[in-house]
Amino acid sequence: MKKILIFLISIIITSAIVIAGGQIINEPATNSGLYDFQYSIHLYKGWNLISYGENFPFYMSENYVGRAIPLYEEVMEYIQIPGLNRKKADSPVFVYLYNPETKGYIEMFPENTLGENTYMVNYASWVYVREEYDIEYFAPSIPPLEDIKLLPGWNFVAINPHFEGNSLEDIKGTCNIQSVYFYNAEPDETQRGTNWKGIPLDFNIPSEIVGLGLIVKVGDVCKLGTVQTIPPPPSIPN
Amino acid sequence: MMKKILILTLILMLGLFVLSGCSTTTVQDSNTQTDTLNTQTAEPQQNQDAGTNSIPQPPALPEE
Repeated sequence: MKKILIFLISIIITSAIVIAGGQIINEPATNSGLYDFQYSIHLYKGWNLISYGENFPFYMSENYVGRAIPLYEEVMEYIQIPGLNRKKADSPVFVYLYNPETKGYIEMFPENTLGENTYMVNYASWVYVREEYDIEYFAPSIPPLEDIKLLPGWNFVAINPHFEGNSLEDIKGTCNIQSVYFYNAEPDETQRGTNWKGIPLDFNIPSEIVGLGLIVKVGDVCKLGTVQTIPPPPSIPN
Repeated sequence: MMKKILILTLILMLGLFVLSGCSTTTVQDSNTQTDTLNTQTAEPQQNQDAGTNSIPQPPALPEE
């Protein structure tokens, strides 16, 4: 029964994503243990929960992705409007990070309330757009799972390349995970108000959702990491 | 006497005619004013719809 449930969840999640994933720019083996990654994400109209990138939404430029991104061009047009005439509500994109310490949101765009050049590499962020876009953006220096610290309550976690092919059971590290949810941003789900999808801990993260985000609830301060299962000692002969 | 009554009736009728004419004008005026008000009320709404976006708030987290 549980296998059927996981199968159904994986169908729901993977079918929800038209484009997600990305490409490795630098492997940890040759990059001091860090991934440099370029995420490729399909944003649906409305809210999307995606991995945060360096200086997002600015690093969607041609230099990083090799081609122009319509959303990037709109962001550039918007920020070129002189201060007094630029209305916050007219921004083509809104970006928020969740602070698990204060349990509140930090606005990152159109107004960066955290300070320029702040790169929260392990975090997932809310991104609101007024229409659908395919975007690509740069996420350098993605650290190992052991560097992802979770605080009591909800944590917005970026699904980085380390997650691929693993279940949360495999990478829970020192965490006692209470619940995990994925946000399906498809318009039908938004219309029905059924965007949040609970994920079982033994669900294997597919490559199609690398670059999106999860919310993970834990009871205590902990760190993710590969769980080394130590087999029990051999039984003593009779 | 008869002549006086006739003159009075004529004055009354004239008065009534004038009054009814004025009241018609008043109604027409008020209609015009209403139309103008309606137009005035409608115009900003159209502008508002065409040019103003709202600042979206992130979705609520799941309840447990």
